Amino acid sequence: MTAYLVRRLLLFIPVVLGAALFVFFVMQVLPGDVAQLILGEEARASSVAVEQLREHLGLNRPLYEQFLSWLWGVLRLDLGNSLWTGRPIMDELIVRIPVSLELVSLGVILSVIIGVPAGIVSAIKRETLFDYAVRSVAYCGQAIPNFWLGIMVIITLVTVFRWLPPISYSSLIENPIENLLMMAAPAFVLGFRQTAVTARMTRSCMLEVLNEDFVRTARAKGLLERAVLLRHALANALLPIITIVFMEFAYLFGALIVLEHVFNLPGMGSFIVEAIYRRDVPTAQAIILFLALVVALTNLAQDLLYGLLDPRIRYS
Amino acid sequence: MLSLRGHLRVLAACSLSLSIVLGACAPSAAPPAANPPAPSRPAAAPTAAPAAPAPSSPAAPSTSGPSPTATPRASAPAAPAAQNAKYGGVVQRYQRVEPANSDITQLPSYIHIWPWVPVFSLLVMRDLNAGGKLTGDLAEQWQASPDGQSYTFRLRNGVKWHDGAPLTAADIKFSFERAADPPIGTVSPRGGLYSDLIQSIKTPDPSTVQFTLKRPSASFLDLVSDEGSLIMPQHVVAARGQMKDNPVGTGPFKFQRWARGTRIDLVKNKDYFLKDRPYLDGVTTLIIADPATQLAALRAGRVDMSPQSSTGITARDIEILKKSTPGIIFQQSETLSYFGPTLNVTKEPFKDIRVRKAFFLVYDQPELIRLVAPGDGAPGGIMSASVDWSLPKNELAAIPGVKRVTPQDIDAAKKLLAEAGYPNGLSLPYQARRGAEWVRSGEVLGEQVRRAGFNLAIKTVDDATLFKSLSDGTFEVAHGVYPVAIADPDYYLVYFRSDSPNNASGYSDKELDGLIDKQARTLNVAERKTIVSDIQRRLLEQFLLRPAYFPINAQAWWGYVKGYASPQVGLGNNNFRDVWLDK
Repeated sequence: MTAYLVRRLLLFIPVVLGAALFVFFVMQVLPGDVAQLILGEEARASSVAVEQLREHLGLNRPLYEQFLSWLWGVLRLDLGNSLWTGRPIMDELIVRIPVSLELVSLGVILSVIIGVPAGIVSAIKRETLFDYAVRSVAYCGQAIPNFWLGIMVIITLVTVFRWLPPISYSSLIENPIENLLMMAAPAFVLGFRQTAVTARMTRSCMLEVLNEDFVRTARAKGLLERAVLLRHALANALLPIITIVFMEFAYLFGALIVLEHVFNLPGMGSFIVEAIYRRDVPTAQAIILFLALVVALTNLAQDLLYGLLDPRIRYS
Repeated sequence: MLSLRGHLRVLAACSLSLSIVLGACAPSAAPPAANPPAPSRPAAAPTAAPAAPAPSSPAAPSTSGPSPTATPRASAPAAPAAQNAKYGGVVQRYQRVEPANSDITQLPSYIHIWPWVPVFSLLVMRDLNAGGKLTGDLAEQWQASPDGQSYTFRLRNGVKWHDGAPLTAADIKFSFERAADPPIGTVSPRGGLYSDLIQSIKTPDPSTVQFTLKRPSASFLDLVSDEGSLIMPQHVVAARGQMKDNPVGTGPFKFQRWARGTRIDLVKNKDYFLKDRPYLDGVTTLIIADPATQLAALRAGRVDMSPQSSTGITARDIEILKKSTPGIIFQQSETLSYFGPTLNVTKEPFKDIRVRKAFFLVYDQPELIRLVAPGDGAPGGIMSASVDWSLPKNELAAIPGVKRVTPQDIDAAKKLLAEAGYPNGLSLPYQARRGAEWVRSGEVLGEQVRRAGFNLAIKTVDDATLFKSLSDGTFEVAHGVYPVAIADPDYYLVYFRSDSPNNASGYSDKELDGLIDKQARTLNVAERKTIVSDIQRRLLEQFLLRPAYFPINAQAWWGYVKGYASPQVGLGNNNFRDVWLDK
């Protein structure tokens, strides 16, 4: 097991590096120059000034040198300075990562708390009104674009309830109530789609498992229905559901971009969009590094959880 | 493991508690005094006629230009504390873009400077509550030499930086020199404006600053009162090398904290050099990116005002807000800046003036405004039509590219294109700037010029890409950007000098350059106007570009915000010194 873990952790390196390398080269290919943007978004400065700034920012060094010196910094946990603000990228990330993490976590938690039970009941009571209701809501949840839903939520809150969530972010530690109030609406919007996905997945997995022989055997043994459903059926249906939940966790960071914009959250989504617009290569690389790490970690966690839940799966 | 029933119980409990919490919160966050009587403000009506922006008009020479006398211009004493002004409260404003840093000299554009204006002071400023009249801020008195080539400012006594150090003339000299000629590692995006004009700065004593200009200039005081000229502390910048964070100034508000991505908090400067100011306890700038969220926050009273030149508030929004929240005041003003289709004269096909003329013969500016920005855009040539320096409106109304298009124009255009060697028309890419109205303008443009045979393939690109192709000259026709901060011909004509890096069209005419220099030195307003009109005619006849429109911006604020006057573009900015809250 340890050997397996070590192997998996070592595999992180090429994955994460590969992502960073890819971003680095794509950003070089994109037309546009951060030095020009710094010198005046709208007033283009003289080419002399642009050249001087490029020298100063180290943008004229050969590409391999730029990438390698960045890499060297990363190994010493120094992500470098943003080309746009001149401040250490780590400082910004420390502020923004918790925001996105909190939002994604809340969305996923909500989806599991609501989606899994809804999916189970929907499977048990299939083809009843409850089942139809759950499925309809689930289709809506997947079809409705989250930014539209987000804007609708805000407009409804303002016009009908005459209330707006806090528009200025405070961290969970600083002011937990303000923080949760601010997160409630976007978590709901995020969770709405997630719940739909989770509920549908749960329903179809449960349906599949409920038709299995061992469920019939369990019932025949005289077990309480509750035990049959949870200890036998759900436990076996859980693997694909977990896969979905973890995959979605990683995917959600991308879905955050527009939601953060609409609900005014200073998170990773808006951060990476700005970094790309401004051709701020070190910042974009740092963010992609983080995202690649998140994906790799969630994959690992998922695999380990499989091993935990299903004794038939053993890693060596 | 919880049973299903257990799960459902937990869920019900959570929902119940959540709704209790939300219910408890709602009333306390209701919008404030929903219906104070709508105050009467002359400029509140959202008519299409914009408020006239330019103080440096020929009719009002006292507000700009050096009026060549030797009598010192004393600053009017700051208006005495309003009779019923209340002290206290924090004004919340918002803006879309977070400043890159707090080092004024190094900031790329004005939107980055706005949150910091209350932290700093200018030598002279515009008194927005008195129609934009020039008044002293750090300068108590100033005068120009008779030849208009040298200015002397006498500074107030007893002004202190927020860290307690005294302000001296050295700080003024430092600020302007740093802007004009930044050291390596410091960028100065507006540096050209200063280095073009300023020859040298002397400080004969700690309270006197003397500027010697390279040439007599009619726009020097405009430059000095521009928020790019906010005075920086020499001792702080010299020690740190820059002032990108924790800014130290002499203004009515001190820097308190900057929560990145979220807000900037400023607090009252208790040692401000005007003893009875400011009234407010603080000014907070929130960063709100989404226009729908901005409006919602304004309506809900979470913010007290929108930023000046809020492109997020359109004429239609004003109509809605007037009905739903009568407590809000609006002021519209026309920007001096514009954008518009720009032709690259250094390459085919637009090297040929016939092709350029054909292009703009079928370009219908009034129609474009009607389709893209009704109520939010104003017409103009290479200057805003409402600036006094512009050609008169009736002359503009006859110029191709500004006037309505007639069938004869379309025929003439086709003929010209055929003469130039394109009898079957031609296809070209058009670079449109990403942004709703900008892309739509591109689409309307494409429709209009198709009538003459131009087939535009619209490519929407982001800012970085667009600016690169504009400066490299790798486009044929593109969305050109013409920001103008000060209502003086110098700032409009800079785009047409052959040596200017901002000359996107690449047009080069030594004679024109000579005329532009000449008008910059001409102090007599009537003479200058003649030269400037001549220049405009020449440029319009070259068909280099035409504005799509001059955006009309609306600023909105709640009626309980008193003493606030919206800065019309080109008239400096509000440092919240005289603002108070009536609640």
